[in-house]
Amino acid sequence: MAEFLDYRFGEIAATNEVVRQRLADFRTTLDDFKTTYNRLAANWGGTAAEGAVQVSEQLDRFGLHTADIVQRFLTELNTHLEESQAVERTNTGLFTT
Amino acid sequence: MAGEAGSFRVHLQSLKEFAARLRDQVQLADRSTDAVQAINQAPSLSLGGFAEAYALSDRHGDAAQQLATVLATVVRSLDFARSVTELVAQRYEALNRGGAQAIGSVGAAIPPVPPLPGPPITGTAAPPAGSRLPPPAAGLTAATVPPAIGTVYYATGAGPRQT
Repeated sequence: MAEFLDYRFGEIAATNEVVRQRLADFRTTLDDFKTTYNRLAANWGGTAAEGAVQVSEQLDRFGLHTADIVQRFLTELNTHLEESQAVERTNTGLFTT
Repeated sequence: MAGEAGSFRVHLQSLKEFAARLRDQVQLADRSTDAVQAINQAPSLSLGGFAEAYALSDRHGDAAQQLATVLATVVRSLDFARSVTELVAQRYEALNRGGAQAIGSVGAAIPPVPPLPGPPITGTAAPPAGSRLPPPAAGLTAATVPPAIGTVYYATGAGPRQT
């Protein structure tokens, strides 16, 4: 365990926003990849087309799974931020009689 | 809390040690309270059988009673501070542990990066209808017979195209 519990709510929220933006970028890049491979598959024929489709599908599965994990991370981080703020409010309130 | 968005910086071990010191102080104050009560419950001081002596004995009793009241208040205050400090430490600790577990559990689900076949796709491709081999100007090797392995390029346009 770290020596200090050092919570800065603004920085946690900023991190959350940066990761959220990166996730949006990642989804866009993934869509671009899939579009490219699908276009190649449409232009090609035979096993080359099958390979392009296979890569597209593989990218899609991996991308969706990765995006789901990052989304879960964002959700957990945001939940932790809200809990931290609530705990801090309660803790400081405990000293008021 | 500090800053617009808020923050906290807590040294959990120090908080626990402070709570332990408060607990010791409560025990110490409790013993003092017992001592003062013992003084207060003792028989009246034998200061003599005259009016001033009786008055002094009464004032001694009043002072002891007031001291006991103050000490009881101190004990209650110390005990309140101890309980709050322990609760605050527990809440920070639980918050940190819970957050670490929740966020850490997400990382455990990260899959290994799958090996992606790198372009170009190799194999035997059937050219779409109407396609023809590119002219030499395209800088590609014309293959009349597809090789057993490698890449075969086909052009679908009427002439060389820019890529």
